[in-house]
Amino acid sequence: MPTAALYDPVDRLYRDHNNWLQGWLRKKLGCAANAADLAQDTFIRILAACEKSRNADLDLREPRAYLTTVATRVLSNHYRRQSLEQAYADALRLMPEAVTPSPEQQLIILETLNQIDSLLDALPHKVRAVFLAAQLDGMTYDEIARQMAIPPRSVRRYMALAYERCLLAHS
Amino acid sequence: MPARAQLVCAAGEAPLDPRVAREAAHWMMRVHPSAQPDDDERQACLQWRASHAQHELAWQRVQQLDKTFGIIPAELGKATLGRPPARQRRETVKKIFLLLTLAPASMLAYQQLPVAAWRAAHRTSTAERRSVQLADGTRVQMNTNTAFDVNYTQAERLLILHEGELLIVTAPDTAAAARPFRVETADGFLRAIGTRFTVKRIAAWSDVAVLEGAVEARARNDAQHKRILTAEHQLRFSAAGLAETQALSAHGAAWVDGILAADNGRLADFTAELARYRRGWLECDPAVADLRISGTFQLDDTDRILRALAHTLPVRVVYRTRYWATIGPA
Repeated sequence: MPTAALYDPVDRLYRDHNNWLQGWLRKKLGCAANAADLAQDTFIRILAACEKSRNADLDLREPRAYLTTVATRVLSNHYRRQSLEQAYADALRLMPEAVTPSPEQQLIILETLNQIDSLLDALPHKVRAVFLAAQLDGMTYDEIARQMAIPPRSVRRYMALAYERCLLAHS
Repeated sequence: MPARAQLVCAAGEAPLDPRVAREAAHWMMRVHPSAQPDDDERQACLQWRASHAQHELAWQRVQQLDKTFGIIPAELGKATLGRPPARQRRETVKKIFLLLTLAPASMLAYQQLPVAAWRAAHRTSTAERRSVQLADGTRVQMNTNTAFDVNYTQAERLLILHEGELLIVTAPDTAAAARPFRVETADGFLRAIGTRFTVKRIAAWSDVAVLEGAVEARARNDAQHKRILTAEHQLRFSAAGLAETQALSAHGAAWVDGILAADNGRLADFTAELARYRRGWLECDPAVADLRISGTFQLDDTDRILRALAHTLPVRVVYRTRYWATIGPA
């Protein structure tokens, strides 16, 4: 169990800089409501990191630099999710009505997609394309190599790389 | 947060040794169905897993990822996970904006806008097949889930296939000066030379198969390479390029007669093909994906095809909902 002491520095960070952080995010986003949400996410992320490492030894000499580093990641995650949701909404609109999953299924699928999307986020575009062709289209490595006009050896290397990154992403 | 972490690593689990993670990833790549692994390879993988508890642990985690992929309907997965990367997305917006301001009629814009398929002049729904006669007498047979537009001008007869599959029987041009007959998909361009051919666009590529006459093909982003495809040949192409020319497959146009045929094909491929003709989702469990299937099936009753599968193969069809069926091990 994390102790209260673990949270003290974060608590201080929050009280001293939350308003400033919200202002920083508002400038980036142009939307106050989203800025408040993302500031919240930023602090949750910091808390989770402290908890995971059992260490509240935050480097507070440059608190705002630290906050913007974390908030930039939160922000890019926000944009990633936004573009995913947009693509998802477009894809659903294209489905004939009879095929469209129920609202509940839609949410489950979206969350699953979001999980995978965040795992694949840092992968180079080509690696990601190879991985998706194998996982979603069930194309063989040879077919992928032909279609993308790359050597079969690269297909195998990209597949292994994608698996490795996913495995290490959250461990 | 916990929901995401569980995908590969349940909260509180010990972190993986990076070396073991790399090995597990390597084995996953080697025995993935797409690698078409043989028994020796599978056996070697089993040995690796059994040789250390850490190995098996890593293996289970990476398996979880494949299972998660398994519950995503392929079409939704491709449309979302396969969306263009952020920078390209911005460029697309820019490009579309330019097209809107400079050349409103340009047909380049459609490929980034799937909505075009909905607004197409001609479309069929799932399991529907329909025949259309165009102004010049050209006949177009539409397969399931197909959308196309016709754009005849003084310079050319253009047919834009947004999605689905067509059998085209071109007619000699009625105009005074004969105009070329062309087909455009998101992947490239075809020019028909007095002919009967099929063109299909599903997933992320296009297929063209020539039954009579000839067709010239070129990929959208590779103007250098054009290829003339003669009768009894077929070709797959993506925007990036043309694949190798192949002999016409025996059953390529069987759908025209309402028949789905398989000749020792993988069950996963057969399922994907069958899914095009069914409302709802039809999935194939990876455990039975590599079973082989042969036969001809009437497309009018896909439920009957599913029942027939369960009789001839060691599989069972599980209905999660009325429109969501999974073919799994018996």
